[in-house]
Amino acid sequence: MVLIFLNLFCTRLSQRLFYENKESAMIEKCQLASDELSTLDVWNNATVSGILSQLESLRASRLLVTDSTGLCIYDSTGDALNRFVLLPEVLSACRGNDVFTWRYHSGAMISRAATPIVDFGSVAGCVYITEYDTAQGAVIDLLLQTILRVTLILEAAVILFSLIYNRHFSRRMRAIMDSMHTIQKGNYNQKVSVGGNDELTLLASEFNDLTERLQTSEEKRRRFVSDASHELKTPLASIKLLTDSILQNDMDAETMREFVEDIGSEAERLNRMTAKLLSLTKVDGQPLQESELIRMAPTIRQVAKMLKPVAEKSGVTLELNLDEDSTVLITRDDLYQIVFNLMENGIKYNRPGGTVTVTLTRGIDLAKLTVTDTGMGIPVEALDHIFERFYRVDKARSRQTGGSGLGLSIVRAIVSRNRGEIQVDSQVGTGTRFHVTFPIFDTEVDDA
Amino acid sequence: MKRTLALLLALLLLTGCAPTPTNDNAVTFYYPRKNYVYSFMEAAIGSESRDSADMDLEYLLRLYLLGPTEENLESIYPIGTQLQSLTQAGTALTVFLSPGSNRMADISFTLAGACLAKTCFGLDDFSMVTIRSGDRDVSFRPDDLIFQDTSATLEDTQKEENP
Repeated sequence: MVLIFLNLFCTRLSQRLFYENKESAMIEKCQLASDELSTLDVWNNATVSGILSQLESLRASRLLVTDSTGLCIYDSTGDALNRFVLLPEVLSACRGNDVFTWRYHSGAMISRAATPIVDFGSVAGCVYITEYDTAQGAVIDLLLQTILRVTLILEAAVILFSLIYNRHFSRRMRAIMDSMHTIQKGNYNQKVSVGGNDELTLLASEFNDLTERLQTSEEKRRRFVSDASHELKTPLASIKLLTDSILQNDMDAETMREFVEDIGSEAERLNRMTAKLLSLTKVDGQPLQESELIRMAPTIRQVAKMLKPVAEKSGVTLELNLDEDSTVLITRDDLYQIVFNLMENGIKYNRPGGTVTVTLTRGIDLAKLTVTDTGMGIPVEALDHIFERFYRVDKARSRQTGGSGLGLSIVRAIVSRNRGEIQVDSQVGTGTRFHVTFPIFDTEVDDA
Repeated sequence: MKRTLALLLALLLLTGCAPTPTNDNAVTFYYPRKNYVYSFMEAAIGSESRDSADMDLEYLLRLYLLGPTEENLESIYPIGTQLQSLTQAGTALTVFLSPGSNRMADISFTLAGACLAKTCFGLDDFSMVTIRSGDRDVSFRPDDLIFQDTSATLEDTQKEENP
């Protein structure tokens, strides 16, 4: 459509240019003849011929002069002499107008012009000329043909390009659709490769990212289900073994009591594990509750007070070194859970007579909570895994101390969702240190 | 069935190809075109058919001077211009009109006269028609009138014949 419009526009423009050029040239010729003829006293074929023969620039296919009634006084072809020439151009010129008309036909440009001959303010006749110009006609013809050819070539190029692009685009879209169908069937390893550097490539890249996230999520879910099943199976197996032993063996009351206490202990572990799993599910699935600006120190003291009996029972000393002005944006329950899990771990995996030191310092932009224990430490190869669910460094000891392997996973999840970061460094035989940082907020806070 | 259908189609075809019936009593009146828009191929005058019903020349010319019935044609004689008399000498006809035509421009007087003369040439075998109005007159022979310039067309034809 645009090309057709362009073609028409160019054609009209070129014709207009020719028209304007031709019009001024032919009107000038007519006026030149009119001016010369207006000086004549006597009008007849001889006097008019005499004047016109002196005007060499008046080259035209036909030159015709009429009087004011339209009677032809001179005709270069001789056909119209002494006849009434009532052509539209002559009629208009004899009414005092300059006229120019033209027509392009069969490779020739036919132009006509007429102007009045004015003598003492009144129309005395008119000069009419015709030009049959094949040279300019050929130029117009060539121009039209060139425009037509260019248009056709452009049309062909556009159609070809559209076909190729359409085919290319369809192929790439089909690749993405095929990958989607494959992923719908559960194959998350599928990747889309469409090539190029456009929106489709971006779409494919986003799609691949999404697939990767789905794959990671699916792997985590599988591992979690597998780990959770395994971890839940262990205390259940112990309970089954103990109950079978009670049922199959004759035992005294003291031994039976011991077995029943063990069953209770395993059931308690199962209960704790279930509670932590629920807690972890809540952290993962629930939206962040409305945070509030709170001072960290009072909550840390509250946790220390809560864990003090446990620490004393294990022979571990709790030391607190807290900056009172560290204020962060967090929910009180989340902060409590973080501090509790880290301090509880420090007590659990400490040595008798050891220490758990909690330090809270305030930097320029960050509040930094450090929990240091003097336990057996964590091997370097295990450091990368300690935040994974159900991962335990020393499984035997963890079970003995009632560990579920979920505490640190919960801590990391809560820290992350409160815009914080957690890091760990440890040295085997010396102890472990957890660093938790949160953005600090300098606002007056009422201690609840 | 096929034969009937073929005959029917042939009949329809013959009916469609038949020449348009002509009215032998019709005469042609020529007038200048109204609001004439220049056309390379169309003259400044047009025509309309009238039913003559064997009327005499004077009646037809009076009818002519009443003006055209078609909307695209017009009479450029001043309103009220009437036929005063007609004289015929051999094949030469002189039409006397009321003197109101004096006010017309030369070219308009010629154009109006040319239309009237062309109409007269179609009504009888006149060799010359003179239109007179007051002290103005103009005479026409059948070959005197040029309404279209065919010189370019002739050159075109010559070019095709002698490329």
